[in-house]
Amino acid sequence: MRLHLRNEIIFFAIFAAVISGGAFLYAQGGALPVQTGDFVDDFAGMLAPTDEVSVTDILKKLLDTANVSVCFVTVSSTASAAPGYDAETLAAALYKNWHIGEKTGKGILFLVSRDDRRVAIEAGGGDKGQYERLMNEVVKKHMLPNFKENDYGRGIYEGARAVAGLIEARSSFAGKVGGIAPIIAVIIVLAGLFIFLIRLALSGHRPAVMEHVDEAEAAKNRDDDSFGGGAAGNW
Amino acid sequence: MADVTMFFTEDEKTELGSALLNATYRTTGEIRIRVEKKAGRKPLDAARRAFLQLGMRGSQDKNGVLFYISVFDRKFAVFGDDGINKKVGREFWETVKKAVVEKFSGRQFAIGLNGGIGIVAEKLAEFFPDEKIDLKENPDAITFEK
Repeated sequence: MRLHLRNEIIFFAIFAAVISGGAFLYAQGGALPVQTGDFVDDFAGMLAPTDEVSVTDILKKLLDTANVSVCFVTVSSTASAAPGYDAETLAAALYKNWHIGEKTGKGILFLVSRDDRRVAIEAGGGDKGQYERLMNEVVKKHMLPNFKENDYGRGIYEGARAVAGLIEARSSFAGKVGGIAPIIAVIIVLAGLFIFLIRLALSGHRPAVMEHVDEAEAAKNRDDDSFGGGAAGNW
Repeated sequence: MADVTMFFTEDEKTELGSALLNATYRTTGEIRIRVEKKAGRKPLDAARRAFLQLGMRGSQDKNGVLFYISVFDRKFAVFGDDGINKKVGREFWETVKKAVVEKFSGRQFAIGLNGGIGIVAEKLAEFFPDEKIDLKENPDAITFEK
């Protein structure tokens, strides 16, 4: 009987250890902050409401035009926001957990940890390498100088502007056509053809010279008031 | 519409600035880069217009060369004044264009321009050597449409 009770005590002790150990592990690696906004999650309260609106506008527009999801997150410290994480691992965890860039295939998350004085970047998608290189420069040139002056709002705002500028400038030649652009293109071509046929029919004779699209060829035939020469093309 | 000054990163601007400086110390010729928003249907004409607007036409040997980029309609042109154009001919410009555009397609903008600048610089040094060998620093070597 006595032996039996001891077994029970041992069993209970092991059981309690397993439960508490599990709870401890969960606290270390499981609890991530819950996303509150698609573009800005200011957990540390570092942004004035006007800054938050401006940054959100910039990033929303960027998502519409370039199809890249960018998100800025602030925490007072990684230890308080998610125990057991440092800035880099927290940025990576949030990127994954919040499904940033899942819809668009391309995304970037900036994590600003105020008291740790750290900024971490997590990027995903085919342009990950290029994005991380560009974004490091954004952090260095546009965010950190303002952070050092304790002007976090301005740092994040200027960071967002620089990110949007770089991505928009670079994505417009990514060769990707999506949404309604192809439909519009087809309509324009058909409208152009229609007008051309109408004019042809009205004029009653063949058009004198059709516009040449080959720039190099056109350069050769240029008239006298032009000068110099060169070559041009698309990429 | 995004700001085209963002087309190059600050590091790339520095890199291209020194490429331009290196390219022209052995020649009386001049090379510049112009980044604009849209070229329209005739990028070569747009480049010629930019060449005039930048005041590059005034050189004695007419040997200025402009690398022209329009960001939003993805056009590139290399344009040379009469002096250099008469020396090199059309095939040369096509070679430069191809070298640059090939890199641009892989989004390697600074690398593409660097290569193109190198090719042009060789020709300028060949046809228009500068005996003085001086560095011609030009704050307007790279300009952007406002």
